[in-house]
Amino acid sequence: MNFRYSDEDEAFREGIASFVRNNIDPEVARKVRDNLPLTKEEHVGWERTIGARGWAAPHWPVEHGGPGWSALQRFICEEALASECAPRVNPCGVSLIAPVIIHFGNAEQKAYYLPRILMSEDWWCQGFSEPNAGSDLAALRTRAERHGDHYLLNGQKIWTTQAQYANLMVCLARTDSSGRKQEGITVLIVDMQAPGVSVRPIITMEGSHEVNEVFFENVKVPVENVVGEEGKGWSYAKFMLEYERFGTPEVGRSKQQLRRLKEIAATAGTGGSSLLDDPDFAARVAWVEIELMALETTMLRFLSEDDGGRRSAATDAAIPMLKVRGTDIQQELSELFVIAAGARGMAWQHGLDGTLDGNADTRWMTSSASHYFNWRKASIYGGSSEIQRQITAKNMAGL
Amino acid sequence: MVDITLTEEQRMLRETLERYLGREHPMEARTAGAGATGTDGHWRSFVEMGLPAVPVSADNGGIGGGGTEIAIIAEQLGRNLVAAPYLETAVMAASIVEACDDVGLRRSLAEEIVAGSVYAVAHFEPDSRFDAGHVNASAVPQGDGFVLRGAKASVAWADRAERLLVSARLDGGVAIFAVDPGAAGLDVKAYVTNDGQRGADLRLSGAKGVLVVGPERGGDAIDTAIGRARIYLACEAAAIMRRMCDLTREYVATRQQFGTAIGSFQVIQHRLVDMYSQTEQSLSMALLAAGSWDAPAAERDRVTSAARALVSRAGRFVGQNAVQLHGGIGMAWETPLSHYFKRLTMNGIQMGDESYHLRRFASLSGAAQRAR
Repeated sequence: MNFRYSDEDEAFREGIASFVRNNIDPEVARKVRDNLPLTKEEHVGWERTIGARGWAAPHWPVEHGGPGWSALQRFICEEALASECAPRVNPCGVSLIAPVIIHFGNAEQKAYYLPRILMSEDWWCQGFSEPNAGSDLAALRTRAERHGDHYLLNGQKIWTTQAQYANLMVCLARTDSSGRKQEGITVLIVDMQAPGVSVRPIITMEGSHEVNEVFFENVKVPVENVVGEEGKGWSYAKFMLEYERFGTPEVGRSKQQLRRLKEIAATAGTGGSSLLDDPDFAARVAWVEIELMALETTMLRFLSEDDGGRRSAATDAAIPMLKVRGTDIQQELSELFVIAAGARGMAWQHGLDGTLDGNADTRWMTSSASHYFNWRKASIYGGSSEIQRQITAKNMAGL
Repeated sequence: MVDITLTEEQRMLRETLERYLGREHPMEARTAGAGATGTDGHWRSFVEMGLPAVPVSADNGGIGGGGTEIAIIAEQLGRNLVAAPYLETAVMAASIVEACDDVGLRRSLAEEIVAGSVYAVAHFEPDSRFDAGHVNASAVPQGDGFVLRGAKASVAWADRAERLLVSARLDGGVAIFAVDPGAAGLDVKAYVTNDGQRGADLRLSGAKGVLVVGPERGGDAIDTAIGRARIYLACEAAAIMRRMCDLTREYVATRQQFGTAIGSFQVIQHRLVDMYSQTEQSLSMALLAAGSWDAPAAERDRVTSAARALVSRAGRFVGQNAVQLHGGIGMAWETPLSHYFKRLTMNGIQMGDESYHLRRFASLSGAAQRAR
């Protein structure tokens, strides 16, 4: 048994990390480091930079532009990108709709959408949740009624991340309500510029505009925008969320945040002393580091089963818990930044252009609380921690 | 005998404030604004109700209230999420003014507070973290007064204050000075805080100050002001937690998923019960701390740190789980709960976080044991 990376793995990692160092806009990396929002242009610019190398979609098959990496290499790539503060690629294109198109889409859809997704030509958003269909996603009520060569779409989505940037949505809509609620759901690609689509911002508690409500009023969706088979949307959605779950532990991102935390904590104590000499703070930092080591090792263990083509039933059952462990770690880290900032972190970043006393080194202080508030979403989105536990319990025989 | 009944006056104080805030301070006003809420109108009403006079001693023209009255006010301002400089003016500044040796100055400052002047207390510095003894700002005599140099950080309501009380080193101790907010040599960088209140960083480069408490008593006066502020904060936090529990209970009883109210699921029920029980424990500790308002410093600080440690920890649990059980809607600015969460979070790090108070309690509790 060996949990060490080989020399080739290390070289592979360094290749990616040095590419990021040489090609990322330093201001973008700084914003990512300090958990500040990026503009659409900054996101897209970066996605095209790595899209050209196939790194935006490391899990895609080679014939569609993926780099043909093993599961371990994909994991190393994610870690290397995150360690250099590269922005996270919008998952709606590469990780939600693309795998469904690859597995269930037709030839035209593959030829048209996949290259565009890889090069971030479109901004995709995810139209899953509705006001009364959150944890109970199958209760969704947005209707798509067939009228000749198109559907008429009516209903409402909510918590749609960056719908204000999006020109396309991967939408779950009900095309048949005669059977069980899991039946009759269809995956549609919706043009966000089509007449009848309207987007209303939802401002979250820290004051940012990240999520939206999206309303559909008699929106014409061409029949060719159905992905896969009509009525099979529920199984496709589960397939998509499975993908999402493997990405959300964000081990690399947490490792980067942990390094940053230690960096800022080194002078955050009274009189510029190190908070890492404070036994309580040091113990919490140590615990999060240990948890992170455990999670990384668990990921490596599961990934090595994947690469060997022998994923066990026990591993399958436990996969939803990776998201829970990952978000627990991310949220603990976000809290430790708030604790490190102390009362100085009470300043709201929006009111202060990010600095206290004009001192650029204080930026992490003013973003700490906003990030902490914002990151409460992590245990809610993509299936809440409660739902992940429920799925795991169901996965385990006899429960 | 333990007696937790309120006097007729105390009951009236609570009812008056409850009625006023219920009528004049709707949560929509709080969630509509993009930043800090305007408080000027409410502040005038609070002054008419005599709130700033409550902790000011009768000798100095006040009402002479104590921990119970402050607990009532903190509860009401907390559960209604009022953004106002009450803690700074009536709890901290008034307490410092009481320690002023100069009778004439003491009475005139107390009179200003009773009449409704807004005060801010500038004590903590950019690198003091939670250590109240870490003061680098300094004062030197000049003419008939003093000039002050140094930096103060996270000073609540400094940009709205009509008078600042500023601590600075003098003759080997810490003294407290009254500074005019418009004074030359004072730079105030104001900002909105995460919980919709006001804060500022101050730079003093030769600003004129009038001595309020000299270096022989200044440190104790600061400790008393901060000790009482912590009592207020504990009471405010407990009230916010109670409110968040109630809002969450209402939500899970009505939110339908999987064909039923989510409150019918055991995992939700148990979590909610843990939130309530931690809230009850917090309220008890907050009231215990309020009872030490006039106690000797060692006793007040021991009980207050116990309360702050417990309330901060419980506040984190209650706040995080209230948002979690609400799901996405708990994250939205439009949802009052999110504003309670932000205030509760900031409350938990104001003037000492959980770890600071846990260690302080351990040390004070050890000292009390040894003295026996």
